[in-house]
Amino acid sequence: MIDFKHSMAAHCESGTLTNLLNHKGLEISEPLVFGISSGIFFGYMKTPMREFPTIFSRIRPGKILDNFSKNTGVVFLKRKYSDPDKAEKELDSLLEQNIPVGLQVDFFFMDFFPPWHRVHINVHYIVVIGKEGDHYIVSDAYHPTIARLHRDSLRKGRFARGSMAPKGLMFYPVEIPEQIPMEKGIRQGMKKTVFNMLKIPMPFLGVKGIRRFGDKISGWPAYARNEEQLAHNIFMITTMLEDQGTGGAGFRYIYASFLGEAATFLKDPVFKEYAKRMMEIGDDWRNVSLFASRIAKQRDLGKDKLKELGSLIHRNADQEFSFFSDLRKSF
Amino acid sequence: MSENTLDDIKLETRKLILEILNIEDVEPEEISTEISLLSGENIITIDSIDVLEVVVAIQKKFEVSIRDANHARLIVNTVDSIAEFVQTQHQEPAHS
Repeated sequence: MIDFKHSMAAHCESGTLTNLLNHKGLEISEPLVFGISSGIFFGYMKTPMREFPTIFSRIRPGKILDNFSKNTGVVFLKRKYSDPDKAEKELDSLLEQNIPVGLQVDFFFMDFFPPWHRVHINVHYIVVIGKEGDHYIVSDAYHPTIARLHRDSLRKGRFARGSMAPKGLMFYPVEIPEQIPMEKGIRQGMKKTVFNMLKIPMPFLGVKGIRRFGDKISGWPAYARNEEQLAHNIFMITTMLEDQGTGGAGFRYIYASFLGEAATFLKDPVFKEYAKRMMEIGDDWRNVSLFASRIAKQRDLGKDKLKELGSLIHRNADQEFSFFSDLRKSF
Repeated sequence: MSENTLDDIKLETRKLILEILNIEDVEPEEISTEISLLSGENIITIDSIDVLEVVVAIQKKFEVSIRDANHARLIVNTVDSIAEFVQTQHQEPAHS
């Protein structure tokens, strides 16, 4: 087994990346990785594929790695497979060379978690750090300790089908520049985030997406076959904001931590103020989560309650518009 | 809150959970401190809808900060884990 420092993280992709970078000798925190990668985002989407609209509060899975690489110059090897045997063989070969390997997997097959905790999510990330017989040694940023996983489970996880299928994806850092321009990376990360939140010309993305969410939520009963389905989908708002590796409040808390660290790197205390503001915005998103879970549980799903929820969401849109407009002026 | 013993925190936690879940026919002492509150194996169960409610209530009651959702699930897993977290936070000088 490779001597690998296992650390828990708020989010699996940024946490896995952070742990791999730390192992490779780059001391960096998860919030910094997340912020430099412009991880925070918002989207409200209704597609013909799904009965209900869905929300997301981060950039597309996999982009954290790509953006981090682009903004820092760290080079990663990324490889996908169609042949599970070949994927396993190459993983084993890397482990024999003492290289910890990041993998994309379906969370459901990570059976070191209790059954009641596991759901099918194709975009979970782990680090494999060794193999003992038929078991892999796994560092999962959501698990308190290093865990063991049977090779059959890992294979199922790596080659699960469906939306965002992992296709055996493995990755690891191969080259870290001697001098990483952290200040530049931080500023580039912020600029891209500001663009994503304010300037993307799509009515369902960024702050415009939050506004659309606030506008449309009172119309959600029209999508529902029955009250139970409506309640379930209202509760999914809470799940998407609080329980999908978001670090709480739809990634707003982890972004606040990034801004706090940015103040030190950029030697500018104004970013401490931004961190405080983002933390407060996070608290307001948590209120949205709590409100949604309460009305879902109490089946109090009338138009008035949903309009009230919409007002809370609109308030957050106003705050984020103001926040990112101000952040834009700071660089 | 910082003068509370671990046992005090456990008792307060059990009362708080019963209050949140609005359960009147279970005594606080009947809740196992060791068995998961999320698994369905304890005398009461915190379902996924209630997790956030419990997190917010613990923050308010014990003046601690639980902002990380994944860690939150581990913290609210058992009465013991909640109490240990609260006590640890109270022992840290700059807890919020």
